[in-house]
Amino acid sequence: MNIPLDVVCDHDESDLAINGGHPSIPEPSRRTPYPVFTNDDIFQLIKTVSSDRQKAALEVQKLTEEYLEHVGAKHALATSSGTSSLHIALAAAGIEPGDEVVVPCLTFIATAMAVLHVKAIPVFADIDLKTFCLCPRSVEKAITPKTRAIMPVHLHGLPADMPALNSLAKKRNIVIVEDASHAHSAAIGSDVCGSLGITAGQSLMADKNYMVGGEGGITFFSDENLLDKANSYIEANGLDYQMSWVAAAIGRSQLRRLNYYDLIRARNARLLDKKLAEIGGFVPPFVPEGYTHSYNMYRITIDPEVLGLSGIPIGRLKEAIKIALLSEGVPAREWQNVPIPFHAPFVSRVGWGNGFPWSTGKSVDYRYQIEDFPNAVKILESTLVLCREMRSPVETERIDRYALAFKKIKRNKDIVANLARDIDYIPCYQKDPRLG
Amino acid sequence: MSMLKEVMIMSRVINTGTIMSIEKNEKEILGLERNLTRYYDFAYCSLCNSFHAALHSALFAEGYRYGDKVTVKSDLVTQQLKQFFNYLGLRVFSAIYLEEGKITPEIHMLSPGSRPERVPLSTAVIDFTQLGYGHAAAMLTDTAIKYAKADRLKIFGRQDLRTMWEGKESSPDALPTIQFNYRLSPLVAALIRNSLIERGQL
Repeated sequence: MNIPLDVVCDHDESDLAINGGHPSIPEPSRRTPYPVFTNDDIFQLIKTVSSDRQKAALEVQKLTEEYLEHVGAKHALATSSGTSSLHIALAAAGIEPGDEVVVPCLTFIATAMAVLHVKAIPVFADIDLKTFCLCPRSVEKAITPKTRAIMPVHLHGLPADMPALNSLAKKRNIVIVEDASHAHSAAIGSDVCGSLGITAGQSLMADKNYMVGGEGGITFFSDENLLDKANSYIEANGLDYQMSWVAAAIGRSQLRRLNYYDLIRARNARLLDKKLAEIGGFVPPFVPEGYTHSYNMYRITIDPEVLGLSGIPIGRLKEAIKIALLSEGVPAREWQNVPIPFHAPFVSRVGWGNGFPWSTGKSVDYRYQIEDFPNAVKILESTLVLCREMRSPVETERIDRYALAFKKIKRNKDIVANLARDIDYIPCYQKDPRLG
Repeated sequence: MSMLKEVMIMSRVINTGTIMSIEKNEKEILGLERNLTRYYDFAYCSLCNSFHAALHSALFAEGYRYGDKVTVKSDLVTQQLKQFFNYLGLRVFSAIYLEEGKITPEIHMLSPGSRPERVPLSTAVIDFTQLGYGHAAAMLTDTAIKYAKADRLKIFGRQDLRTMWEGKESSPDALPTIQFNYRLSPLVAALIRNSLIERGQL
C-alpha cells in the first residue's frame, strides 16, 4: 500500500479532515482492491480451458474435494451460490414445508430466504451483544413444537456459541444447520466452521474471504446419507444448482493462497485490536478463548463513556463518527441497517404466494416489533464495520492509518460531539432496509 | 471459441478486478443484457444463473404464484422441468395446442440465435447452458413492471443494488416477497457474449 506521506497527517495532533485537516488516508490510497488475482489464477484458467469441456467440468469436483479437506467436514457438494448451498443444507437436514427454523435477526437476508426455499418458516431470535451471533437464551424462547432446526450464522467470521446451541438442540431434539458464509477458516479449537453442524451452507461469492470466480457456494454434510438426501432432493425438485467450472477453476487457485490470506487478516486484526485498546472508546470484536475469528468483517463498538461523550444518544454519535471516519479515509459503514424481520418479505409474509408457507399454520405470532430485538438494535446503533479492509493486500501501514483516524476522533471529541448534535438523524432501523 | 480467446476474455475480466454482478462498475452483465435486448428486440433483459432461474423469473413476472395452474406446451416440458414446476407449487396442465415456441401461453422459449416472429409485450426465456460455460439463461420482457418483478426475485438484482447504493427503497411498487440468488457471474456472461458474437447470434 503506497501512501504518499507528504500529503497526509502522520500524527494525531492535526485537525480532523472534516475540519479541513489532512485526512489519515488520502483519496488516491483509499481503495481496497479485492479480490486479489495473481498469475496463478490465470495459469489455472489456461490449464482448465486447454482440456476438453468434460475435463473442465471436473474442476468443480476437484474444488469440492480440495476445499472439503480444508474444512474437515465429511462430504460436500458445490452449488451455484451461497443461498442455494443453504437451501440444500436445510433440505438435506430434513426440514420440510411448514417447519420452523430459528435464525438470527442480524444476518444477510439469504439465511432467512433459504428457510423459505424449503418452504419452512424462519423464526427470528436476537443476537448476543458481545459476539453478534445468535443468543442461546433468545433461541430457547423462539423454539416451539414446530421448530426443527437452529441455523446459527458465524457472523463476520466469529463462530457462534456452538457448545450452548448444540446442547440446546440436543435437549429439544432439533438439528443445527450452519450458515458459514462469513466463516471461511474460522474455527472452535481445531473444528472449522462448516463442520460444526449436521449440515452447513457457505457462500463462496467473490466478496468473501475465500472465493470462487464470481458466484458459488458449497454445502457440507456430516454423513453420507445426508449427501444422498441432498442429491435426491435436487433431482426430485428439478433444481439446477451446479457451480460453473469457470468459477471453480479460480476457486482452486485461490484456495492455494487461502492460508496466507488467513494469516494476513489475523495479523491485521490483531494489530488493530491492540491499537484500538490503547486508544480506548472503540471496542474491537470479541473473540472467546479457543475460537478463531476469520474477520470477514471487523465490527467496532463505540463506548461513549470511555470517549467522554455519554451525553449524546449513541446512534447520533455513531453517525457522527462514521462521517468523521469516512472523511479521514476509513471506509467504516453500517453492514445491515434494519433487522431481517423488518425487511419487506418478512413484513408482508406473501412468500411463495398467498402467504405460503406462513399459511401452513402458526405456532407463534410471526409479526415482530423492533422491541423484540433489543440487542440487535443496540448493536446497529452503536457499531461500525470495516468490510474488506482487513484483507490482503492491506498492510500494517494501512492499519496504522485506521488507528490514527480513531485517535484523532477521540482527541477531537468535542468537534465530533457538535457534529452529532447538528446532523439530521434517523435511527438506522427506521430507514428503508438495505441488503448490505 | 478458441482456447486462446477464452483465456484472453477471462484475463480481461479478471484484470478489471470486477467479477461480481453486485459491483457498481460491473459491465459484463449489463453489456450482455443490453446486447440481448437489441438482438431479440425486447425492452428488458435479466440474466440468470440457470434456465430454471430464468423461467421462474418469467413465470413470476407473468403473475404465477404458489398453488396456481399453469398450462405448458407438452413437448417442451421435460421431466426435470415438471419437477421444477412442482417445486414452485404450480399445477401443470400439458397442452399440445400452444403455438410453436411457447412454453406457456405467455412465455416464449427462444434458442440462441433464433429470432422468431412474436407478439409485442411478451416474455421470453433463452437457455445458454449448451454454450459450455455452466448454467446460464436470460429472461426477456417488454413490460417494465414485469421486469421489475423478475428483477426483485433476484437477491441483489438491480433494484436491490440501487436501494443499497442510494439508501432509499428504489421500487416501492415492486417490493420483494421471496428472493433467490439467480445472479450470473460476470466471467460467464463475458464468455457467453463472445461465444454468441462468434456464432453470429448476437
